Amino acid sequence: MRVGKLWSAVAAGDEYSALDTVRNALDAGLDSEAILLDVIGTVQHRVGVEWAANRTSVAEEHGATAINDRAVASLPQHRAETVRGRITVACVDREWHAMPARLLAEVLRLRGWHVDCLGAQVPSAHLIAHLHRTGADVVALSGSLPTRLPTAHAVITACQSAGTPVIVGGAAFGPGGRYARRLGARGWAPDARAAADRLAQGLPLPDGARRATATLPHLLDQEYTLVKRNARQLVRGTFTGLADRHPAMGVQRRAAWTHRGGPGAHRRLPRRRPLRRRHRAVHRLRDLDRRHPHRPKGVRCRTPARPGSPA
Amino acid sequence: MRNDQRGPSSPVEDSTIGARDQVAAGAALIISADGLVVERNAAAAALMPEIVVGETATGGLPAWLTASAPGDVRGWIGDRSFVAHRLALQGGFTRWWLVDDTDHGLALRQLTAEREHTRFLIEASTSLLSTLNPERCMEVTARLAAKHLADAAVVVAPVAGRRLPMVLCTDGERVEHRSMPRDPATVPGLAEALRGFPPLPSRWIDPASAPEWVVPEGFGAVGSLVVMPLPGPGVPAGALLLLRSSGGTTFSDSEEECAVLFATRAGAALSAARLYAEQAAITDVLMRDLLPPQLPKLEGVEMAAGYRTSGDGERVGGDFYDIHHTDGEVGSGPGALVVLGDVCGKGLEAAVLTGKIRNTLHALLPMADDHHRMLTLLNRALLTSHHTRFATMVLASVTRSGGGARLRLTSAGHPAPLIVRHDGTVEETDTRGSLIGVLPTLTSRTTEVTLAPGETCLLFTDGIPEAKGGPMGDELFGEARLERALAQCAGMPAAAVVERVQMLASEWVGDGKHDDMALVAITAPGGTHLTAVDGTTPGRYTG
Repeated sequence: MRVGKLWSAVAAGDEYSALDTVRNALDAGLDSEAILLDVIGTVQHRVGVEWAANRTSVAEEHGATAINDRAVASLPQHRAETVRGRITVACVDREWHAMPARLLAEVLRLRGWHVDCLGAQVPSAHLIAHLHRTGADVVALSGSLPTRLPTAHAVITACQSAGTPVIVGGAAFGPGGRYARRLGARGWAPDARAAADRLAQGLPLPDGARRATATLPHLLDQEYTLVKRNARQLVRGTFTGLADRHPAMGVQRRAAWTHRGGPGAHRRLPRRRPLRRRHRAVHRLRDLDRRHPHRPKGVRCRTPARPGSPA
Repeated sequence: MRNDQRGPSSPVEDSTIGARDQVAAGAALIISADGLVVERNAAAAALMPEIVVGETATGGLPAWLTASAPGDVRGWIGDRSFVAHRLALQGGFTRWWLVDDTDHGLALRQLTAEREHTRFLIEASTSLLSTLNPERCMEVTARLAAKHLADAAVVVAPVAGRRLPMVLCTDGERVEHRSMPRDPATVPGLAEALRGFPPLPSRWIDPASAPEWVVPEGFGAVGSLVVMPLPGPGVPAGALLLLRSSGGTTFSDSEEECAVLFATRAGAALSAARLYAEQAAITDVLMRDLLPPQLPKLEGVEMAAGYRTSGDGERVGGDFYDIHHTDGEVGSGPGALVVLGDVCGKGLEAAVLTGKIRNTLHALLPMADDHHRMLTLLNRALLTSHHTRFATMVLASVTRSGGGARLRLTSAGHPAPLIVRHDGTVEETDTRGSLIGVLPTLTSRTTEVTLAPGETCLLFTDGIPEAKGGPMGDELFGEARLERALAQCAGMPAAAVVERVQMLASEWVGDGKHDDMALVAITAPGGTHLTAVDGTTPGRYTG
């Protein structure tokens, strides 16, 4: 019922009713953790579902999230008597879904952790510098978009080689957290409550000798590295090829690309297209290698220098 | 050589020791089925003088040799270790060859120990190098030492004030932090070790003289205790105390040598961490005023800001924004002056100039009513400073008017702010002006704008429209795309507008290079909440 009330307030962009709902819930004796996760968290999940189903506009989605954020901020700040340890909560670089991390940070604060919440899209360099400065005991990393997994992998590796274990969570890490294990995270939790319980048990210290390729053997042949490095040239090549063969097609696709972009763009694309493109990209690279066997391995697909540009 | 020791390479079928085996280095014995010594060579006689040919062997042979385990057996005779090879002969005779492997075993044990030490030192180096946080580095040192060198380890940091911070570890996993007002001089050698120089050898101290505050809880009686300095280049890094419980083994020479090597590495890592912490603290203090400020609240107007530096590792850049409270114009109540600007260049040098500009503008706040005058004075100040850089900026005086907000905007060489109306139309504001810090006279045109509830004015730096990227990687984000994005932001709260624009620009750039990006959104809050209160709720938040 409270979820329904908060949802209608949030959907209507009505901040004050939203805050009233939260305060009524508190007055009725609901504890802060339950309000955070079972009321605000549930409503936020519904915001995401509505957005994914294309039933709300961008503006409504952002507005709803902003109101939910204020609802979180309106909860009383409890200070636990004993401090369990210091934890840094952050989102992966270029990950804009800050709400799950925010909710986790609040729950951990209630459970007695000293929390530094760095919020959305934290560049890895910032996170590592923060760890060195504060000496956090654990890092909690939130990821919603699977396309950010390679970045998450880099961050997990960097944090854990700095001696700080990482617990991860969020939709990006797959059902049952299967990608969390493969990326080497020391912990995974399906939700904020489970994460707090898992953290209360203590995470194992990172294993310094671990090699990423043990669980991610596809990194060995550098396919990913090559495709990523040449992604833009490959996209350009595809577009030019399309425009050459079907002039009208080229113009349309370009316009479509320009309007797409933003989060969720990958979701709106047909599922198989990126895969096919990736395979073609790899074949192109292998073709190049076959034709130019003497080409140095590190230098591939370089665009010819433009006349007049410095070498 | 090996064959000589083991006897002839071909199987010996007869039950005698040949002439060659008589003088072999290994001891050879032949024992009959009923346990009588049939024959022995010279080496066997020297090794086991009690054995007499023709008598039962059990009296003179070591017990491990007579045990009827099949195959080769190993055991000690006196202080030497032997491998006994058994060979069954015809007629129930058994021939024993005893080969001395004392030195071989010793070498193997030493090799294993050295390998362990090397592995430990490599693990130590890797773990110690990975962190630059002094506390964590102390924890790593204590864990490693407790796991590999002793039953318990205590890392003592140089005295901080009157307290002696230390980390204790017994099981190589869990650590205990203590920080107590204790005098290091009460532990013999500790005060000297903490001073770091002159270098000291590790020092054994009487376990009974160790005060209880250096002993981990539940450790029991201390059997041996050594105090080791952690030598750090230039900076004292602390001291390491290794404890072994009574009843356990004491430290061997090679173990002590390994501990000293470990202490050298730990000392270097700890002092590097301490230096980094000091530098980071200095940087934090110096940078505090250059960081984007916390936004003050202004009654009735929502403001939000976003900032992203060009380099991911940097925290400050050439873009800046500031929001100051002002008394406002006559009859319009309290207001705010929003400044957003961009200093030519990026990185720390540009950031230093942004600090100066922000200070100057703060001092000029009393004349916030007259943007042109403010900018002229700032222009003069920049022209006379030794900086050769110039800046662009936009000033916005915000006051509340009715349900909405009134803005006076002046741009000085800066992209004109954009207004998002509630129906989604995007207007460019009509303000122009010259750069600051270039020409002796400054021209500027101020414009006034009114925001109805739900409308937003966005101030941004050129880092956003000039963000290069897109699917091809070489296209600018552009004003048109920015305007299209803003058109979708009608009615959104200020924070959401900022986040949306920041997100689109960042997505556009991808992994590519970009300039600093700063933006401030000023929104007149939407009025929906007034109609949505249903009367059943106990009250409204007014803040």
